[in-house]
Amino acid sequence: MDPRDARLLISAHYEAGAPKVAHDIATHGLAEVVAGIPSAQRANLTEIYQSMKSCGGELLIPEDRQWPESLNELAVPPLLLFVKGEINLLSEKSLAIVGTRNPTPYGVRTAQDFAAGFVDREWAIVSGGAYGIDTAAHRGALIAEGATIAVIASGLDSAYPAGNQRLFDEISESGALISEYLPGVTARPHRFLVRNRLIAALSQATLVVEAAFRSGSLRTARDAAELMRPVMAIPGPITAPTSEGCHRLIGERSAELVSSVADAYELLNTLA
Amino acid sequence: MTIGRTQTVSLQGLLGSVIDIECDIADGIPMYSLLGLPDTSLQESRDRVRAALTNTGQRWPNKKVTVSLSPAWLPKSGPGFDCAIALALLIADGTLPQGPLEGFVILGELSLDGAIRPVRGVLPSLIAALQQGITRAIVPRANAQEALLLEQMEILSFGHLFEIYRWLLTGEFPVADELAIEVETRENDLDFSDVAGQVRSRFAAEVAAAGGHHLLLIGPPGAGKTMIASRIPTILPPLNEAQALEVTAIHSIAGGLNQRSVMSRMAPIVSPHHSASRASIVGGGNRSILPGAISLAHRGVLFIDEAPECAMGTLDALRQPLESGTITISRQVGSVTFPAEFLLVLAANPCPCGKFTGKGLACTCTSLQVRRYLGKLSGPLMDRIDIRVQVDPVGRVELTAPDLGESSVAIRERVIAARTRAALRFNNYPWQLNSQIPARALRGDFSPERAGSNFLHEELDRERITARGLHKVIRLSWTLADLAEHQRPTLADVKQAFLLREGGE
Repeated sequence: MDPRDARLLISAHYEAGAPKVAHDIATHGLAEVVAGIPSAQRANLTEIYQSMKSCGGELLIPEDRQWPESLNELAVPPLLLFVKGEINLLSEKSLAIVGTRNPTPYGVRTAQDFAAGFVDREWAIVSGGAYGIDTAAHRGALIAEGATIAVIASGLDSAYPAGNQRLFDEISESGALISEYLPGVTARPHRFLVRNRLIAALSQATLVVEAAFRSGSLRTARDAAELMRPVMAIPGPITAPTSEGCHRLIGERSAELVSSVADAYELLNTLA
Repeated sequence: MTIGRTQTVSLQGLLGSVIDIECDIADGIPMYSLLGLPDTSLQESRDRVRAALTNTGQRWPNKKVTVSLSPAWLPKSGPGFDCAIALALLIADGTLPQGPLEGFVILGELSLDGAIRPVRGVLPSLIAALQQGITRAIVPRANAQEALLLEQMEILSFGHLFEIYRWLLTGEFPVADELAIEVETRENDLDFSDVAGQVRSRFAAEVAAAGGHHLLLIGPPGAGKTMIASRIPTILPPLNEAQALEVTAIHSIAGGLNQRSVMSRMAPIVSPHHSASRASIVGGGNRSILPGAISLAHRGVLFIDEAPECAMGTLDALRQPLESGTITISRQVGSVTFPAEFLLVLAANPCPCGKFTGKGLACTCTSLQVRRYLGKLSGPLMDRIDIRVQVDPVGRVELTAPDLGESSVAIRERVIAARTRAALRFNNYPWQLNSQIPARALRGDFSPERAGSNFLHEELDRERITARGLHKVIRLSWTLADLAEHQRPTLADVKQAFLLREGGE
């Protein structure tokens, strides 16, 4: 069986990011896992290809030459990726910028500046497409005419949040919009956390700009740390609840404190 | 029998018309008819007048009594006509002479025993009478202080019908006692020196006062947002005579002069609760149209605490008056325009539960709740807010430090100096405050120094501000320049304005 078809069938049947599926594929192979899906429950491949085509996405699988190697370091690598935009971008050097959905003007400015600064140094930006810091990071990269990748937690046809549709359109024109979910899959809270591991794995380093005490971006930072990728955090005033997560990462020595683009760039160069 | 004639004033908003009252007593079946579009409260005057007359020893004419209010087409409202009607009736009856009352407007509601009760809107009524050439007035004793603000008029004040009878029949005038008691108001107690710490918010308040920039304060409960807002009138320049009259007139119509001294030169502050209806904010009413909070805040401060809690549409109703400085209210009885030039101060918690401060551990709000909460303020209203400032809780040392903060008097001096500089600059232009400079002028005569403009254009290129934001920053930078005594906003002024606008730092 064609690995594309096999991976599509598995993706359609199992929720993405399930460790058991990843384990089964690694030990028994794709064909075995596909065989485990009752034929009555198998998805209609023609339909999937059709919907993929209609939303303008392309299918990328680990067997492809353009597959970003960095994703294979994940304990649970994605089965496949849907990509809308520049596929080759995924293998380029990139910085993940993540943070709260309710930033302060300080956070927005910082995220934009760092995105623009790294784009100027020929890095791509990776973020999640949410409101707030994610949006600021993508914007900063686009304004500086650089490449940015949005990893979204739903099918490419229904990118979430819908209010960012124009941003997504711009990103897919000059960068890439990617997802491990089939078209038609909607955003759910747990999918954001699963998606975060892709942001961490796809990029060479992660920068947390503003994060509250409880924040999904801290999960991205931990995922990055597990992959032994450098994690950086921007400090804020100690009175600002929006910087509390960053301060905690710095305090726990999970993240390096950076206070300028030049600092961050130099740090990454010494580590590389 | 003669016809009794007196005059009074009917108000539509701030504008008044002199009303001629004629009373005729004719033979016929005893009855009383009141002509000239009276509303219910005015119809009821018959019973008040009748009781007041009989209780002051007068005889009610058991004949056909006709009272006509002209101009007859104008709808009339309220109990303020009582006194004038009673006197017209007694003149028609032959009890009182007509002569001494010629050229007077008479205001006052009657109580059943003949005492003359205060009415709303005495000041605007008298202003209207004066404009129509009437220079003498009889007012209720309780309104005397307000009426005496009009120095061009001869004001007689009476507390009871007996006093008027005696004056008309013997020329004896009652000794006006307890007239000069100044109403005690809390406005004298407030001072900026009460505010501990809060350097940034204090400065924001000073800039807002100096340039007339609308202000948004965001901070957790107890940080001092209300304290700061309620002290802004103390640093605004005192009202001049014309402005003070205008403000007192509006408060007089709304019947709010027990909260505000009639003589006050202090800019007013009005703080409607966030549950206030749209009509109470902008003004309205069925029979008589009353000014709302925005008009009561004319030449002063409109402070809305917990602004995101306001009902949908309430805050947006402020947009048009913010733009035009007036509000026109149209109802079945007619349409009325009130002035509404105010400094808008909004306060908001950082999130619905209010605990997103410090480490933010106690906050239970979701990201969506927070965004929706402050999102209620966004859009066209926020476009009109020039300064957005974060009010942090006061630190321990600031709270216990023995030395007081700067006093209102010192800040007010700087505000006045800055406004004077602005006024000189705007000598040949139709606006007075930096916040009112139109966008066109900001590109021409009122652009900042080269370096400042370049900085802003760079920010614009990087999409950090919008074109509208750019204009607000420039207006704000003019106020900062005025406060710092710069000829033209420097790069530093522009940068500071940029920070003030977005609430960062």
